Amino acid sequence: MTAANAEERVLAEDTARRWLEQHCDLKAVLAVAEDANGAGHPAQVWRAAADMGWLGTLIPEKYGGLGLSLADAVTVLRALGSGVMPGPYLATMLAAEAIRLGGTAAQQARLLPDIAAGRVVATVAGARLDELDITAGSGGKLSGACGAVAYASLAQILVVPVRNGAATNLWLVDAKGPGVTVAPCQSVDGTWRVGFVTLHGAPGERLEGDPDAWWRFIRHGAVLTAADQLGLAGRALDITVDYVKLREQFGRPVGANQGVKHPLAEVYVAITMARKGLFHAADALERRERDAFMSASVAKAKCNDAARDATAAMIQFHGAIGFTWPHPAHLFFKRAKRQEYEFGDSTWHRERVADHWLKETA
Amino acid sequence: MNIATTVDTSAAEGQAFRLEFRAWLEANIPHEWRPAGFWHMMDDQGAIALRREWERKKYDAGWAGIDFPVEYGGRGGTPLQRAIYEEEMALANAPETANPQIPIIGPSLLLFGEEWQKKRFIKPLLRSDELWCQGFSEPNAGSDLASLRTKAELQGDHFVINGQKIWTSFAPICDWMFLLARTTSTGKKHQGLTLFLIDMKTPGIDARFIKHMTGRLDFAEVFLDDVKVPAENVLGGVDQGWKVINGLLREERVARIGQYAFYRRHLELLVRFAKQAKRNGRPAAEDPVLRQKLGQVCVDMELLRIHSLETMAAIANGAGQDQDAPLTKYSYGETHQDMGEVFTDLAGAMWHLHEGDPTQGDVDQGLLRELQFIFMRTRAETISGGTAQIQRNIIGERVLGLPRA
Ligand SMILES: Cc1cc2nc3c(=O)[nH]c(=O)nc-3n(C[C@H](O)[C@H](O)[C@H](O)COP(=O)(O)OP(=O)(O)OC[C@H]3O[C@@H](n4cnc5c(N)ncnc54)[C@H](O)[C@@H]3O)c2cc1C
Repeated sequence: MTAANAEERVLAEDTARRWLEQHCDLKAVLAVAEDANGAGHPAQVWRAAADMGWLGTLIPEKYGGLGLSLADAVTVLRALGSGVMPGPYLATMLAAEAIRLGGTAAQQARLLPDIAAGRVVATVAGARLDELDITAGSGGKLSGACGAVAYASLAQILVVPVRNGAATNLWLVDAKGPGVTVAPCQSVDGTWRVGFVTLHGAPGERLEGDPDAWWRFIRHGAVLTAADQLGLAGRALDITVDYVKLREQFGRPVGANQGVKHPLAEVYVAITMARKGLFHAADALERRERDAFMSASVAKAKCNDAARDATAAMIQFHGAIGFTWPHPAHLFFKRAKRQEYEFGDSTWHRERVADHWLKETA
Repeated sequence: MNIATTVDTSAAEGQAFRLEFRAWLEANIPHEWRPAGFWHMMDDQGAIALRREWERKKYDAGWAGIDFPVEYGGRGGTPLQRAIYEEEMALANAPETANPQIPIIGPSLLLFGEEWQKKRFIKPLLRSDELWCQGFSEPNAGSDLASLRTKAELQGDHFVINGQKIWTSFAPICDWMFLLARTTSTGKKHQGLTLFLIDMKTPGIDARFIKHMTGRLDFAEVFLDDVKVPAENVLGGVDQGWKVINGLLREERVARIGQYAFYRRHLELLVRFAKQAKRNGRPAAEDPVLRQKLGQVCVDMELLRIHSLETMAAIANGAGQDQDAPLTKYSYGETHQDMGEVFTDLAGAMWHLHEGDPTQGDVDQGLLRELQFIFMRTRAETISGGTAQIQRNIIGERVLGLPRA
């Protein structure tokens, strides 16, 4: 990261945060969560995501995006995460990233401009990594259960991982087309929407650019998801620190007690290390470094843990008020815990890191 | 192993320096010193004598005092070179220094010393001709250092010092001590402290080893009974001791680069051990739960490496005070202790057996001994130089702005 674009990033993140605070604050997010049957898709956020270029952060300029780096996408998503923002923007950005990594120039040219402009919602199955069993029959007809898919009933484009012997390929499906059923399902986390998708001979189109894109995609997916988690964690800490400075018991602010101060210091340390790990991974993936997959695992494992600890601390150090529905702490906590199991939980990633070290050490 | 160093040497000015020093180390560290556990199967006095000798040789070859000015006996290099030096020392498994106070008393002398003090003390310090110890802690002044009571009274051209120091590493074998004593008892307690340079042969000094829990003789208690110290041996001015101590924060940052590489070597020992030790009839490295634990310390160590990379960049850019010092100290201590715990988990019931247990795999005994030592030694890392509790107080209060208790 050069100093110049580091500064630009701070600026972009700041702008995004301020915009979100004005147009979709935590009260508005809670309202989205309460409207469980609503689309979970605040129109103003989606419009901003298109107009300010967030959706197209990673999409090449020739296809209507900003053509920026993974670190820039991390910055944008951290800002959105800090607002616990509802909406299909992350699912759409992930789908776009799959298309960018796996698609041919023709496929990218056909699909990415509409995504960058916010004209279509897209999503991806397979955030649980290699557990799905979707197969391609003759004529590219796809069948299998996709499990729970983010914003499935809103999406027009669906990206699915399809088994091909030992390999996994990325395919596109018209989510509104034949052979696709979407059954609604409710999530404890009210800041997103999700549906069960099943394919019964749905016409598919393989992403033909890079047949190994799946392996790169899940690392990029881990980093982009971790960015949202890092945003949650940082904001959770900020809100909690503000509260424990003001709330008094025994004649002094509760934050003066080490039983409060020390865990919050630990959360700060965890978030700082998670941030360093995440930006390092983003750069390593960008440069396609040999060990980049390991860096991504380090980052996701650490962001998982930091987001869980920060959002749990948010509940704990608010006392009973932190356990109430009207207080936003649960929004942060539930979302962090949901994302902990997307694109690899800590167990999955730790295993990859251990395996790498065992293989590399004589 | 792909040695992921903390400097992007392809770009850094330090590459030639690194390669030259690496070659010197390769040629000058005797082969019998290299196997894991070598230093841990030798008695303490013997180890110190060997190290002193080696440090003189290293000094004479120009590989000491890397970022100290040439006029005081240093090499006149940059902070970046110094960081590379620390890293290469650790990577080569070079002997630990016999004079561990160099990074503290050295810069103190440079920053606050009078000309004669610099000329007199720095070169023998760097060459380990004179070993130094740090007399700060007292029986009743640990974390709350400023409440120390050892008293120094000016009598004509010298001070008379009375009191007691404790936990003073290596005091009985040291030639000099830098000691913090109270010169003024009125006013704020940290304002009346002064730093003295004291010859350990001065009458009235009695230093006695206190054995570490590892079994090593290392730190000591020091009694001072009417010890006469020339007034010119004050460092940095009377009642200025606190300022001198706090002026050394930048130095810590450079020293920690070496610490990372040192731990990194420990992680490699641990991974090697995981392949040798057997648990439940198979190599520990194949046990999924143990792999998780190992994976966690690998994650934490990788994060420390990334942190070190940034530190290195900050050093290269001439950054000043290190705001992250408490975060770094805290993270290092925790991670190293976690590594120790993973060792006992991998070793299981044989973790404490000096020779291992043949029914638990064919384990290199030196490796086992070193890991046993590291495991025990890490318990001190959250105590010495400011405890983990104190570090979290500092983070909470100075970084997060939480109120004091
Ligand atoms: C291996 C080793 C080498 C050392 N070498 C030297 C040396 O060369 N020279 C030297 O001067 N000193 C040395 N020390 C001493 C070291 O600096 C002190 O041990 C340290 O500062 C803590 O002081 P203490 O041991 O008196 O513990 P105390 O300060 O008595 O602390 C006891 C416990 O209370 C906790 N505690 C204290 N105050 C607070 C607070 N405000 N909030 C929360 N918890 C608190 C501490 O964290 C600790 O857990 C060494 C120590 C070790 C272990």
